[in-house]
Amino acid sequence: MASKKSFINWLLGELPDLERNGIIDEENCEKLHAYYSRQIPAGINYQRLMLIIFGALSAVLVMGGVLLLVAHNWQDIPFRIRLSLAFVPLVASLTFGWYTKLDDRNQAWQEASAVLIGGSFAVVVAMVSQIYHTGGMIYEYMFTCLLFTFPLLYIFKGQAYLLLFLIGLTIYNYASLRIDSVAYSWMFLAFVLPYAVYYILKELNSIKMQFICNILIVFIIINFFGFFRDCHAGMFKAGWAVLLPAILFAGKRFEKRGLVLWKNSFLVAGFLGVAAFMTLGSIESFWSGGVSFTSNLSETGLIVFSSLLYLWMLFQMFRLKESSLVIPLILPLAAVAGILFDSEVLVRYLFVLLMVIYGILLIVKSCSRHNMPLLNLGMFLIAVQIIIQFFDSDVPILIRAAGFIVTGIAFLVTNIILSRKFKHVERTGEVLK
Amino acid sequence: MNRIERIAVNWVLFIIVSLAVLAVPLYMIFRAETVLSKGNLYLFKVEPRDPYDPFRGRYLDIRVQQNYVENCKKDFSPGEVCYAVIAKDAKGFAYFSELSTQPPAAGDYIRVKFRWKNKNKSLIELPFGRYFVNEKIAPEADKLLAGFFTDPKDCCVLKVKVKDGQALVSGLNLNGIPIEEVVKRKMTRDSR
Repeated sequence: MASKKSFINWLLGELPDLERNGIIDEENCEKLHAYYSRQIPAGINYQRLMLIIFGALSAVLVMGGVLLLVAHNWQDIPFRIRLSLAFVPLVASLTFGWYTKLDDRNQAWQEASAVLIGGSFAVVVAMVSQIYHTGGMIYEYMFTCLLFTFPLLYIFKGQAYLLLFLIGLTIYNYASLRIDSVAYSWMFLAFVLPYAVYYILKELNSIKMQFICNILIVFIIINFFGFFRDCHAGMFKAGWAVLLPAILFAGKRFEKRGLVLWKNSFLVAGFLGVAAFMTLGSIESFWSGGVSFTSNLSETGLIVFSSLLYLWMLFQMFRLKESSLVIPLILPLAAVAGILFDSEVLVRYLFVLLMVIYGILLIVKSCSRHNMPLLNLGMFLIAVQIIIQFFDSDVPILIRAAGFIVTGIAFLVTNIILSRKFKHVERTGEVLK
Repeated sequence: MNRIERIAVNWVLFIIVSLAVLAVPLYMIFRAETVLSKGNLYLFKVEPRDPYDPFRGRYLDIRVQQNYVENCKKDFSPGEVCYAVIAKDAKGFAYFSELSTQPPAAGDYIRVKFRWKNKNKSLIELPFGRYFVNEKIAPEADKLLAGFFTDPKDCCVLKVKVKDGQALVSGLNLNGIPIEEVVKRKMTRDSR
């Protein structure tokens, strides 16, 4: 994008000279100017972006300050006055929100309105529960705040509020462990997911989408336990074995739709997650404990969720047609088989095999695409597996040392040879054998 | 849905949310005032501590001594909502005599959540676990309470108003005197 923009700017700068020297006439000069001016790609408006960020940040700071004022617990003020004061930030925020909507103000105002209304509602609930000593546990407080403020996401379409809502949901998830039903956590997730998915698809390849994807990935990984809190450890492992490849598949879908790698947090997190899970899975002790199914809501939910996710992955496999994705697709099956048969040795060697094959497939793919980062990823997977096996088995220390040295040298030599070959291919246009 | 319809829906949603966020705290106040003015008073023996809530400030964490029902006949799953029937012992202190899935036809009760069963005790989560105090007096209150239970005659009592399953804390007394008053007296004494 940047190079195209700079090239067009250069060309627009050259046009007066071309006209002056008689290479193009005035009419053509104007036509070319008009045409190429329209072609300048719409870059990121950093001034606007800063305004949005600082708008949201100011709102967060104001609400944070008001929350701390509330936390001070002003018992010197008569409680009727305290009660009335509690409503001041809420009424002011609602007025601000009305003004934003009536005047159809820009994104910074929308962001600030959502944060201010949501935050001031949290303040007034906190203040009332403080005055009357009600509200009980923190999860009950978060429940009230989340339940009545989620529509703000859809009304103001704010990303700062999405972030705050997800933080609130994370607090609720972990504060309500063993106390409240997991169904409420799912209900809140159902409130927020349509908004997140809509924005991801609408704003693909924009800075907004990148922001939402990043916070969504962190949220999913942190909250996976919270959403399936009552599952047996074995089932939980199987759940991860489906979730991580699914994140990778989602990243691949975004890649197909033209999202560049550095913006594609799903692809990066998915690959790293799958690699980490395969590494853990190739350690025997990881699979101890087997599995038991008590058919509670969490476990039933995990089975339904994982099955749907797996079906989606199967469907995507046919659309993406990438041979290296076969391994992440087999990964959940291997994990489930190992857990069901309660065979730690079987599942461990299955994971070793899968990780090595995945590494080889990535290396093969890197050769056909002349892609050095992909080559190194493939080699990295194989190297990790060699190291794990050396540590996880009773190999004498001298052989381990030799093994490490050979692996290191192989890594370096392959990189040098293939990078030379790739350069040669790029220069000559030959097909790599 | 065209643009005008979308804007209309958005406005309707905003009006509903505006009313809801105003109605929720107002309802909380109304409910609290009703319980305080019309509820029956019960005294629970408690053991308070002094932690901090990041959203709502200093409070005394109140652990009701008898936060369980002994020899409960029914089984509940953790987190299940149930109704704890309140009774008074010979000294006039409140305790929970029974747990049921439905509100009892007569007598006062509190809507609670079942936690777990420990031998013959069915532990419950009460809706009053916190007593908010001023940040200035909280450390003093904490110090006071730390040394309070050294004498077995000392008694810390939570005053709770109960009406239609709703419970509301109306005060915390140390040997019959409100804790705020005890702390103020101590602070005045110490400053002399």
